[in-house]
Amino acid sequence: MSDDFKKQPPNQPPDDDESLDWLRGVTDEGGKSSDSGFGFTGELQWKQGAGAGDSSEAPADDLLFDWQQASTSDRPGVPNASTGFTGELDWKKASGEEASGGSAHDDPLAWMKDFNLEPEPPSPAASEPTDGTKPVANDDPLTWMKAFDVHMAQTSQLDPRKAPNAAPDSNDPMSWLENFTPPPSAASSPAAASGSASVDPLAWMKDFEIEQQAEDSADDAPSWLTGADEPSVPGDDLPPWLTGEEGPQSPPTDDDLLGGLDEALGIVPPPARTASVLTTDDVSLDWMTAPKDDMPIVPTPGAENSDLELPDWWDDVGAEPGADLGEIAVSPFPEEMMHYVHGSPAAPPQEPVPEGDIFAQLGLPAVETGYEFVDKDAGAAENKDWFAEDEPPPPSAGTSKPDWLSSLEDMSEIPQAQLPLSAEDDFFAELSATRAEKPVAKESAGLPDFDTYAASGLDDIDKLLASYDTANLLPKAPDTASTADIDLDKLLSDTEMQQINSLRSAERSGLPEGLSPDAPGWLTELGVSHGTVSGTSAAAILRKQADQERPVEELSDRLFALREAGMEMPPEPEAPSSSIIANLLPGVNELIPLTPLHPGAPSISGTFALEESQQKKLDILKTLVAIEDEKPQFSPTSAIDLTLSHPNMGDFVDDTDDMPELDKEPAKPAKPKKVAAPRTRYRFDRLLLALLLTAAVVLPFIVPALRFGDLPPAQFAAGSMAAAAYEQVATLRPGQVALVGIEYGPGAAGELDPALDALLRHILLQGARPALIGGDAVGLLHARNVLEQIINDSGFRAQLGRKTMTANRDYYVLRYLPGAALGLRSFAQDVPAWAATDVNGQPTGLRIGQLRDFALVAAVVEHVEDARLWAEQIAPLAAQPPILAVGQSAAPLIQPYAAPGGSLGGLLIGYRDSYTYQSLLDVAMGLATAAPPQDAPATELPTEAPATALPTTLPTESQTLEVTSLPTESGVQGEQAATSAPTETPTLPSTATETPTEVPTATSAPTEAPTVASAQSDQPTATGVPTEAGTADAAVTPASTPDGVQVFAVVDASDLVRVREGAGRSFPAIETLKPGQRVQVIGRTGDSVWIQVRLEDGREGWVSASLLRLETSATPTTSASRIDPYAVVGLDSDVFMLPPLQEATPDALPEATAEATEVIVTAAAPTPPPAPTPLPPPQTGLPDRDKRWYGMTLGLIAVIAIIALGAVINILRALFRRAS
Amino acid sequence: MSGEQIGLWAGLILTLMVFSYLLGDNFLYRIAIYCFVGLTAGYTLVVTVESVLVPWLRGTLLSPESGVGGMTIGLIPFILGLLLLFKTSSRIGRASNIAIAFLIGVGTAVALVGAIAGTILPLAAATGSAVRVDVLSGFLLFLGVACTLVYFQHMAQRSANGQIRRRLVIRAAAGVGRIFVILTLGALYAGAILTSLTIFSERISYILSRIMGG
Repeated sequence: MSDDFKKQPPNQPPDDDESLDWLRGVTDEGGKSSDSGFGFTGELQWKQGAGAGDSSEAPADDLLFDWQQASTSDRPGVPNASTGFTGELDWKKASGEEASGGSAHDDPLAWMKDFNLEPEPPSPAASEPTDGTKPVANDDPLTWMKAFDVHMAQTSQLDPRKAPNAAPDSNDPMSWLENFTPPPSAASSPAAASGSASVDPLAWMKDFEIEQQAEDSADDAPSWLTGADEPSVPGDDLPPWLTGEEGPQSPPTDDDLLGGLDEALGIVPPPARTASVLTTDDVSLDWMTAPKDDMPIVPTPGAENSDLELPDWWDDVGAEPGADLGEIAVSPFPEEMMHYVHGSPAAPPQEPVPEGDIFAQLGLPAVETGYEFVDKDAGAAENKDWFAEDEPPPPSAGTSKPDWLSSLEDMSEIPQAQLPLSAEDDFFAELSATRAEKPVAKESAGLPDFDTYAASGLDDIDKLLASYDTANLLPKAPDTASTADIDLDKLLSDTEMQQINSLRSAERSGLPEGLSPDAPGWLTELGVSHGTVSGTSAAAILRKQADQERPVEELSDRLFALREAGMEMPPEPEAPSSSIIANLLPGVNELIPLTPLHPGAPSISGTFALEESQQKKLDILKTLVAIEDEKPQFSPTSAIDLTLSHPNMGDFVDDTDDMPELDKEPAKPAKPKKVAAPRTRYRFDRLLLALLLTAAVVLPFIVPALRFGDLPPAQFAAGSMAAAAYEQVATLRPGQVALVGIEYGPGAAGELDPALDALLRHILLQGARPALIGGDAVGLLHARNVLEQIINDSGFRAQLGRKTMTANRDYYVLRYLPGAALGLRSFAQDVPAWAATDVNGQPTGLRIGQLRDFALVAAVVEHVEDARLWAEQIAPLAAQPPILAVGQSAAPLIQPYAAPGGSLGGLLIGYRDSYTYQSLLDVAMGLATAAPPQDAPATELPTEAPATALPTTLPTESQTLEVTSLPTESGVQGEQAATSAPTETPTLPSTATETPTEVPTATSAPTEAPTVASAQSDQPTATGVPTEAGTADAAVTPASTPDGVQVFAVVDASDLVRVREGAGRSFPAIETLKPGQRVQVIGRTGDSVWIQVRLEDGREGWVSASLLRLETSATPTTSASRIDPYAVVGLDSDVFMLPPLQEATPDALPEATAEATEVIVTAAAPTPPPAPTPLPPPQTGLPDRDKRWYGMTLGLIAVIAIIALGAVINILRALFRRAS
Repeated sequence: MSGEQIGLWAGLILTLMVFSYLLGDNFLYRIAIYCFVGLTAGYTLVVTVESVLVPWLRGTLLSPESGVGGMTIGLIPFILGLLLLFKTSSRIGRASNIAIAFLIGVGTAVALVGAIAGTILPLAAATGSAVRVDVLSGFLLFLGVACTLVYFQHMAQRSANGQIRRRLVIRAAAGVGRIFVILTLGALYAGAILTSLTIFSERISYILSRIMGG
């Protein structure tokens, strides 16, 4: 069988509809008639129905399918008026074109693919009645056909004429095929052997044609044909009109068949075919008289009077005479069909072998599938005769043109002025006119659905449209002029015609061959060929191949399958390239445009960059195919090269030799060298700069001579945001909870750890409890480590008077806040939930209802974004504006928030403020955490605190240990005093008032911290003892206790503690105290660093406050009682109350020097000042923070020098280049 | 050697390994970085589970006091988190858009409210107060803000001859604003250098203290 059968698209059921009608008539023979049994095409049915209508012997509508009835009722009197050529083509496929190998509009023989499948050998199972339908696998390429069978069964049931003829197995959709198809041999059916029709549904047919003598075998039949074990109808596989989903009234419209082609053409839909039911007995006699010897004759089972010699398989199929093996109704009027057969008028002129006869062109034998029951040469004529006899004459009698052409002619006859035509309409008007001029071969009327064009193979719409002579179509101007007001003389003048012809010739150049320039756009796009082999029509390609190739039947299965796969390839374009790749892989160039492959380094030019492995593979491939590398004729320049080549960039190029010379010819490819291991190229300039910077930072740690600059000030400037932060922390009261946000990671620890350390110490010193929380999980861990280091500092705990401090009681490390702003907002609005557990998931017991319950909100922030979030999300909900500690890099953008009236209550910036903060804390703590001197056996700690010893009165008039930070006029000593201009602003202690006292022996009334001391700046005490550390003794008057309240202190150290003559390490020791020894406290310095004690022998001295634990006694007679710093707010916190911000005043520093301070003595009761002592030797060691500061200073100098030097060098280089 | 000492020496070694990047990308540097990144990721995971997920579960799903509503609320974050895992699939990846949309929507709303309440209004008030307190500083502040805003606007007029130019006043103000921007960026750059120096000096101090025992 020809491979054309494979070309049938599955969406052409109308073609098969007709063919199945034809076959259905054959099947009906067995069920209806017993004397004849030969099928006819659907044309016969169609004609029979028409004839029945004419003879009034059968109701035409009843004979018709429902959709046919609807169609015919719409067009009464013109039952065959087919004005749409698309529909025309449809029925042609089922009529004469079948005999002539006509094709569909795209593929002339495509429909035959499935048609030829119909002669499937009948299966015994198929002959048995089957019930129901089964779903059909969608992958079955013939699904639609099986579904069609069922549809036919359903349609037959709807037909009242078929109902009486319905066989018991009428539901079997394939029963009609059982009496018709010769059975192939089992061995010759590959499909049967494989057991799957979907594998190669047509392969078995190939053998079937060759081996006609094969016996019937149910096993050989494809399963889908048997209908027994194969599912049937899926409605999805069928067009709606076929499945009957749209009801019997929905005919197979042209939209379904040709996808709206008629709409595009503006043509009336095709006429409904007149239903015809054909009895094989009626129509078989004529062609049975001279059947071909090799023609498979399918007689009606039970036709004993037949002269035909039925094959053996026929007995199997029609073993039971009278059995209804078909489902299609058979006409009860056999005489009608005889009328067609014998009473046919003169046959139409015999047409030559049509172009669409694929069998003839392919050189294949006639298709012997049973439907070609007449001689090929005469079959068409006879058919036409049958058709022509009973058909009413078409409107255009005397011509054989189809109705749709007649309609076109009618349309062309309409005056153009009355019917404005579009371009397409105009085209078809011309087309009709042209066709009308052609000789009509068929003179007999009455066959509107059959014409010479169908017989001549013009069933293909492409060919049909392409067959028109465009030259004849061009001069349409006269037609237009005849109906329009146009100057014909002018229009028909030679000049005008030449212009028109030249114009159209130019247009024709871009059109397919043989197509008029006036052709509609869709036709042009289709690339309609004129039947030439160069066209894109599938039929043309097949014809071309058929002429050149051997018959498909001679191919082996393997080659046949390969050929089938090749048929799926797109048409080979013209003028294939002559490249090697095209020779190796023909067709690849056309499918995939070749991309230039330029191996090499990647660039912006768009070429490929191959990896080493890919390059090796490419080389191997080149070796195999003997391809030489293409030398790029042009080396594209990169954007960098173009930039550097700009004239303005000449001065900025390091080396002109490195500039690419675009005009220079490409250098010769270097010889392949042995690839050496990649060397690490050190940037010595960068390394040198790094070493220089490192040396600048390191040297101050080692070499004191390189310590340049001054240390940060010991105090914050008054009114600064840092001072505001300090004061805000200083307002904390014992027991209060201070929130500390941790928003920095370990990377910024070097800068922000000092700030965090200072904040935490300050909070703890105030007796408050810090609660840490943060959005950085690792930062929170780091902060906890910092806090734990502080807690584990015994000296600091001694300052606090606490032996131990535990988590979730003295401090809290709350949870990690994920989500940045979301986390902060969630915490701000739901503090209890977030404060309920700590970072380890343990309950904290912290009772905080809202954010305002925090006495202080502080945060240590690394990034600007985090600082902004705290200012935005936390600040509006906090009781006080939060204070932030940020790095230097974030300071410029955060400082506006700390402006007066801003969101922040204080701001600490970088290491400088941290240094100052810690200095203040050191003053407050007396360097309690510093290491003891090497020569000191006791644990007395040196102090570097500026010894602004403010005389205080511990027990005041109230019986409590009130806050003793009194408004004083103090002077600032030390380096700060030496480097900063003193001011005259006496500072008021911000933390010196309203301290609640719960001393057991004291009154509960808070006091206003009555200060007895009055600062007398003009009365410097006798001992202004300058020390290197700026420590000065303070003449402290022991607190008077008019009410008899005495304060005692107990040595809280493991070693002996020295008692010195003055408040400073420079004073000599006069006594030592044992651990736990109790002494009376008679005074202290203003910074609470040193405590003046009275020994048992009456001598007085000074002891570092960090080594004592204060106790008080209500009356002198009562024993001293231990004061709980948390139970009693007064003593413990008062004693270690941090000093207020102090600023030096000129009065306070009458003799201020860089290392000398003037002690301002204010005492309620003047006491003899300590004896002046000589200056101690200068200390040689510096704490690390000082070294760090010096290192930073020198490093900054180095950075500035490097930047400046680099800038100068660049400028000089630019100048030199410009000069040169 | 105690655990603390081991930690200190490990810190020293890791610091030197990081500093080896001065010689270029090398194995030691990568090892140190990988350790840091890995430890950070691991610790963050642990902290997130202990500090975020577990408390949430205890407060909602596992809490006997929470009813159906509480349990439902407790499930919502986990459902949204589960949807985020679908991002790895191309077929059902769109399901994660729900969680992402929720995050983006809520985050934007929170940021917007915070920006208004915490940045715009306070800064505007601070700017106004600064003008009243210190005339010179206030004037400079106002000038800087106004000129910087002008500098970042790019509207211009087309003259009759087709040229597109800004007016002279606008250009002058933009020039002043540009100066402010340059100063700000310079301050940021200087701050970054100071921060780097601070951190570097801390590391140097740490190393020296380890080596010299100081």
